[in-house]
Amino acid sequence: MLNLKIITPQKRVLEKEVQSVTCQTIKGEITILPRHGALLTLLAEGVIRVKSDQATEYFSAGSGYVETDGKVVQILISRAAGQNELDEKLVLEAQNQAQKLLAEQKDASDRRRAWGMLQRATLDLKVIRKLKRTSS
Amino acid sequence: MNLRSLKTKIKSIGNVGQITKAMQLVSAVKMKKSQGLASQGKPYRSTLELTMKRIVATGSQIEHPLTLVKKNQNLPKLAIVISSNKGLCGVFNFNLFKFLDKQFGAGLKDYEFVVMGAKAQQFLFHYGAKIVADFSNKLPFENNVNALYDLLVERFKSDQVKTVELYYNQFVSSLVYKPTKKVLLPMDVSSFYDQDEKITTQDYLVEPDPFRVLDGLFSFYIESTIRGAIMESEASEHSARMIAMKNATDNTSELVQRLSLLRNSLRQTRITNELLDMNTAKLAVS
Repeated sequence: MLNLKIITPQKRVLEKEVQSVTCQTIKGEITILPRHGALLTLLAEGVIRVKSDQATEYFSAGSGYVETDGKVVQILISRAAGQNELDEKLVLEAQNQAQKLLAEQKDASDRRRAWGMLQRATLDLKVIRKLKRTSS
Repeated sequence: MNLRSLKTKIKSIGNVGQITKAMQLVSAVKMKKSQGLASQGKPYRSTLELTMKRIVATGSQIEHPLTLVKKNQNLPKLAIVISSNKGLCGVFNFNLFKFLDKQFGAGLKDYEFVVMGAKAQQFLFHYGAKIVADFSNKLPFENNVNALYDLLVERFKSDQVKTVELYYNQFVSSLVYKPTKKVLLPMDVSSFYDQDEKITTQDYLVEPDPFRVLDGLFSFYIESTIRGAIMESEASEHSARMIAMKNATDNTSELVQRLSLLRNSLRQTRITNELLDMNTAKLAVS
């Protein structure tokens, strides 16, 4: 029997005794059976098939790695399937947002004035609060 | 101040107190929740760290682009700043900004910024910093981790930045948090060498080759570091808000008490005056 752990950054998804684990690595599909040689390899996007006495379970994985010594199998999944395209979009959006900010940005003196105003505003606020506290 | 306006004031202050009390309770629950999330992610981090240690202990060649210290002094540094999107959380953001101010000071020109959190974006914008990416709009922040990683590794590998640093509020306890700086890149592999030699080195079959596997492991590790920072920042934010709201609630009850005393004395004055009026009237008539 193999002791299988499937772990994601959010939580431990699975921990139990199983008979075999089949997963996609970046070099192709492998099946890990008990007394498999010590191995460390990266996962590719695909399905992880877990066979135990009672049933077969399936999990989807993006990227991650699998580590085994023949008794224990640890699968760490760090990205969900299909996330890479999503990320590219996120990066672009974040950079666009910054660009927009930059476009709004006036010259340095303006900025300094704005900053000074902010500081004075917070100072004023503090003074007002103090006054209020002592007067009431 | 007359009695009527005093009464309305007491009532409105009481209402504010109720709201702040509710916010305090909500923040307390949220803080518990983010603490719970952080602890659920612990197996992932510890397993990853153990694997890294094992790999380093096998003594395989660890010459990787992400561990290289850049010689070129003129390159800018990249700083990732994690703050909150919302205010009303006491000095949570201000402490971080003060810390940033102390860190950068005159050397602001050497830095490029990636911000996560509207407050940091506003601050750095006014501060005159160069913001290259803004991830504030994507909630929850945790979903940005992979994208953020892609961005900074691309910049680091293509020699656009010298180092990558992370600035955030570290969660110490439910009452204490402190601004912290962490260097993400270049990676310091020496921290993975195990001093106690407890790690059992195995004869690993590393497929396809150590370099690519390390590449993957490094990315997972850095991502998990960023993710951890985001979680801690969130937990600190909620704890800060909880404390701020508790203070506000205390203030309102104190104010209500003081104003109630004032109201009572005003009322008593009025009653006394009325009695006096009646008495003098009676005396005048008799």
